[in-house]
Amino acid sequence: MLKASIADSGSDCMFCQEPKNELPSWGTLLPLFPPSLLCNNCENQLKAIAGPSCAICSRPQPVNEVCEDCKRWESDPDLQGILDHNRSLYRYNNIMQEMIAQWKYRGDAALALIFRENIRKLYLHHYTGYIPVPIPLSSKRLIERGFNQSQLLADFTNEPLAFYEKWQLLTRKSSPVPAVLPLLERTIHEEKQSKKSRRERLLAKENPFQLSSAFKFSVNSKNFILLDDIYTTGTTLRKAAKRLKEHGAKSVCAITLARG
Amino acid sequence: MYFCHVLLPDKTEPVCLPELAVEEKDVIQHGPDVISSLPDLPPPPQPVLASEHTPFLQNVLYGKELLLEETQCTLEELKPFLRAGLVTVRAGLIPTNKGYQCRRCHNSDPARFGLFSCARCQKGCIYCRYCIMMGRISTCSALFRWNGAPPSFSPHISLLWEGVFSKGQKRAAKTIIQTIKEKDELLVWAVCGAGKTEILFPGIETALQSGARVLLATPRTDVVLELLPRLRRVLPEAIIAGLYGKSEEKQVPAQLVIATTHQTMRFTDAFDTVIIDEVDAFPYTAETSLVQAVQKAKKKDAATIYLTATPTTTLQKRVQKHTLPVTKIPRRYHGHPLPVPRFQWCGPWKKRLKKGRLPKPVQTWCEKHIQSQMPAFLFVPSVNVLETITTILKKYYSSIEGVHSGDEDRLSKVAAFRNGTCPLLVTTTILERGVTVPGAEAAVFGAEEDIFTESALVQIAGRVGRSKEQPGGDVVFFHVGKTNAMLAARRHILTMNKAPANGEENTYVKSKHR
Ligand SMILES: [Zn+2]
Ligand SMILES: [Zn+2]
Ligand SMILES: [Zn+2]
Ligand SMILES: [Zn+2]
Repeated sequence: MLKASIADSGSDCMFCQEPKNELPSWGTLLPLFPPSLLCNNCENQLKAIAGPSCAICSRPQPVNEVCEDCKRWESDPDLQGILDHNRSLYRYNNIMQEMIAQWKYRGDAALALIFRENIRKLYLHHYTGYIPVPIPLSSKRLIERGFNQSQLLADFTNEPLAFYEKWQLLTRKSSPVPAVLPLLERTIHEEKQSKKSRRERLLAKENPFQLSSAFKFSVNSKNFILLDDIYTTGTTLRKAAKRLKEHGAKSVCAITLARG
Repeated sequence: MYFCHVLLPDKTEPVCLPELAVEEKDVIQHGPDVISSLPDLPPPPQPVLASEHTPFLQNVLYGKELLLEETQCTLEELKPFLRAGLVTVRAGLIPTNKGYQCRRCHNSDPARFGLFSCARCQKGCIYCRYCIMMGRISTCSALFRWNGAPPSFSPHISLLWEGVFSKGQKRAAKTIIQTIKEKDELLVWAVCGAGKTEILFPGIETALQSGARVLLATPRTDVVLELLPRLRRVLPEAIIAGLYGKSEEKQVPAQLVIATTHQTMRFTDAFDTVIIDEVDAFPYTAETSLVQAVQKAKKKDAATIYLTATPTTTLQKRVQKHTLPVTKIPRRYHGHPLPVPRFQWCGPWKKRLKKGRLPKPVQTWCEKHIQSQMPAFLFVPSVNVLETITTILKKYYSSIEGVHSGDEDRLSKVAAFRNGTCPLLVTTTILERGVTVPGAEAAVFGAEEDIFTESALVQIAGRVGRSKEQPGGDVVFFHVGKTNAMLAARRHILTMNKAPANGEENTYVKSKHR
């Protein structure tokens, strides 16, 4: 249940609320490609991550090899191989920061819809068969915010498939799309992240996540895809992934909106 | 968080309370339910309680309607005040027959309401996307307001300003004082560069001395930042707050509030005098919402002053019909006439840009300015055109810059233009107001495009000739066909230049108060 408008009028840009003023293109005539929710100006400011990047965390860099940060993670015997890899859609530039601030902190839940198609595509392309798992909020934070942004992103993987997508999955002999499972819960309340230094954040040893007791579900030898808004240091995702791997998960990957 | 209509043991009228504040002896008449599903209750009478002296809550809530998270209190802390009627609560969204209306910004366009699955009320929650930057108001949100005595301010305020008014300014300042005293309405129509801030000083002083609260609303944050220190300097005894997107002063109770239009939306029944700067600087849709926000922020019988160089047609019509008093300042502070724009046909420029070239006259104009180091604005109709032109010019002149509203380096580029390291600034209409650079000249590229309205063109021409030392300068509209807006803009400037600078006919005030 997420809608940009209760009137179904898509003529204004979802972010800056100015008229979109777009010329009809092939995209809007063919139902295969839903029209963008943004005006050209906003759309052009979003920078997709393309070109060479770190094979593990998708940080953009001159060559396709594992970045220094990831090498450090991989040298920690505790966390080595915990997160198979992360794929981010966009760079964390000004407009992305503004969008995420309006979405998470101002509470504009429906803004997530901007990213719906690209999250679905990324998931369907690389991760069908992987069980989508949102990064949970503490119950206090969830009441404060009114929604969990990771949950919204995870839900996009479960949207009904278009006919051509079903056809593609069939011809590729891909696995079906499993339901989103809120397998993790957050038992330690989020502290104000910004008040901690990057180093403190990296060093905080305690793991705030737990496998939810509400599910009688065996994690063993299954594949999981975590969904979250930003990959900054990768700490949160690794802590969440650790819980799944501890219980025998075969592979844990992540899809994030932005690479900070 | 659910709410109920409750009859308290010793009362005859029901009050709206959060479920958590209801006690055993209370009689629940409606609810518990999401607050917007409960009918609106009439405001309860102001309680005659002197015992509970609560400056903190009074300061935070007086004259405003705030979300719980903005009150800095928990529901438990608010409970005794809610039960005593010192704090009251209303729904943030009012149901209408086509959806909802937002109590804070008055948005009622269904296209501007979103829907999400809400963890607070466990339901599908509709929320206003129009004022989302101030925090989400949804169907389960309540707005809290102060229902006790208002805070009082010292009337011992005196103006410390030793500047000299031009004759036009003097007349306008007098009219403003009169308007404030009579709680009337007034349009101050002052050309760009007339010095319209100073003429407010005596009026604001008069209002504050009478114990009134004054709101100065402006569309732009940079105006708040510019006016705040100036007003603090000239009115040192007054308590003044500046409110804009990122300001820290939201909770300061002040007798003079300088706020961006968005910030005025938080106020209700709070001001005796309201001054609205650049009323026309809003896109059409935002305009009505602004007017409503200001209507809500001011008290019923408040004085209202509109301040602009380019009044909207709505305001101009009211002036013609003599339903809106007006005072005009047709002459700049330095006494020189406004530069009159000239029109220059430049051929089908879209084709030329596609080939990576500028139309000849535009190229000549740019080169002349860059080579002679004379600062020049080149206004363009869109970001796409901006990027094309900037690329073309940068091939030859690497120091020129292009700016638009989404530009991350906007401030540093404008600074470079101000200090002369960047000789020519290509810009979208974002810089049509505000930025003033002595000796600058201006050109509009593609002046026939819709985005260049009469008021935009007048404002652009107003960038030129601002300083006493260089009161003239070139304003040119490059076009492929004259539009009504272009002609109207030139007519507007010529009319202002022809108007007698000091004539009494520049002021029309109602002889009798309505
Ligand atoms: Zn936009
Ligand atoms: Zn990496
Ligand atoms: Zn609103
Ligand atoms: Zn709700």
